[in-house]
Amino acid sequence: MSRVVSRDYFKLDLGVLRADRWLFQPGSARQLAAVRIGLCALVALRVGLRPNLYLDLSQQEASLFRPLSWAKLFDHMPSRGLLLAALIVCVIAAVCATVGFKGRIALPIAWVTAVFLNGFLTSQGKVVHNDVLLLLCLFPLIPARHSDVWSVDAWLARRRGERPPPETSVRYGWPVRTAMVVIAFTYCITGLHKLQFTGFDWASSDNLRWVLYTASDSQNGNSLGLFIADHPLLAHLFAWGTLVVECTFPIALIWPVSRWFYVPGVVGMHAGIYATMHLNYVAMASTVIIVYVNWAWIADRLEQRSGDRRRWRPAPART
Amino acid sequence: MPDARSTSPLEAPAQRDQPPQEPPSGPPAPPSRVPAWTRGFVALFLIAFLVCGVFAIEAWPLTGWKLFSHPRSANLYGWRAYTFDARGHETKIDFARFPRADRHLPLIMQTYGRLSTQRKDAVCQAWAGRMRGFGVQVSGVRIYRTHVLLRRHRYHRHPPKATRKLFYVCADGKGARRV
Repeated sequence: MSRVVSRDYFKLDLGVLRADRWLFQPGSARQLAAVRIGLCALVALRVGLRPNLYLDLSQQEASLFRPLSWAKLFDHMPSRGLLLAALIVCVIAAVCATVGFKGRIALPIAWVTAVFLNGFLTSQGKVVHNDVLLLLCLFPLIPARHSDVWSVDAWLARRRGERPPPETSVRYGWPVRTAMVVIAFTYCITGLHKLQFTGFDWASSDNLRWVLYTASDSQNGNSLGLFIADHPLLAHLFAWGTLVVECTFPIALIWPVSRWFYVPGVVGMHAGIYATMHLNYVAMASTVIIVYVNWAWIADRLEQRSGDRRRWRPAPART
Repeated sequence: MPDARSTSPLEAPAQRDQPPQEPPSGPPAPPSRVPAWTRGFVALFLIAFLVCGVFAIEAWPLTGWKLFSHPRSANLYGWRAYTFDARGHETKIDFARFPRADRHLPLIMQTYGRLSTQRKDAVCQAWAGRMRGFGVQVSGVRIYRTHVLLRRHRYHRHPPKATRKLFYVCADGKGARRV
């Protein structure tokens, strides 16, 4: 019976501290392809399933336009036609990148158009963070060789008789690890800003209770949010839990087994935010899952299982 | 499949991505070192990401990640906007009926005080125009600062009654002014 879990998995991986060596060591082509498939599919779904969110921006009065970053180049929201064109291009490019058809061209196009659309979404007076982590994790994939396996491009290359790419290479490791670093420090910085602007009072005071009451009022009453806000001890528990998960997330880079705590931890946190405040951070939670789950391992297990099943299938009776 | 390559679903790529003991024969040997331009690209990206994050700089999509970071107190301040007609009769501006991108009163009010008088008036005109579209007679817009004491919210599904104070008035043809 083959080994299922490496002993290294439970050890601290202090190699992370030598960032240059850790980031650029060999990686799996399949893991990179899985991250490409997951993130690009998420972009296609996020943009494709909410077209009105973007198209309605064109109706905004110019005086209410609050551009941020590069959107300051514009005086007002773009026209509906331009937004629609960007939306169609974004969805088609993201689908092409997902299936790996002309992936190295499609992915940058999907990224640029998604940044264009979401940049205007965030130009309404408040920074919209929902899709930022997804876009930031997708960015390192732009110059990477993400479509060497699990893609239409790879299938076509095989049909042309080209040599298959190596399963692991230094070409495949850094995009995924860069995305892991981005996620880890996104949550860490978010937690540290809470300490910077509010201190430990963020969790030890009634801060979260007031947040929950306000959010409940904006929804005409949210029973779960009100229940937590009405019980200060419960509110403190969730507040401390949030601070701990956020501030210490980079431990997930150093100590692999801790990912069983951090990944469900942030997914649970986003689920809690949705249940109590109706703020949808599904893109952030999905991005964490896509980047941190070892899809190559899961593919191995599935292949192994289907192989075992074939081996044990009784031979058809001959008559 | 060789288990040395991948060992657990949430495993560090540092371990899971180790090359197999016996490299497969046939394919060309992969480059042993990442090109310098790739290292530079990753380094620049991570530095920009960390600088924007740590110093809370908004260079979207690079962002400062200030999510619920500012303290909230039991005193909740908000905004409400009303139109008024020639007789002074007020109608609450129902932002939920506006196009999606025009619904954000609290977000607009975050920077409203810093806008020029002309821009302030333009915002009021935009809201007044929308209300006229709903058949409301509009002579101007009044913006109130509201206050709710959240401490009184406990065990009550609905918020305590808000007190309000007139903050800005935009009357047609007279521009916006702070009260």
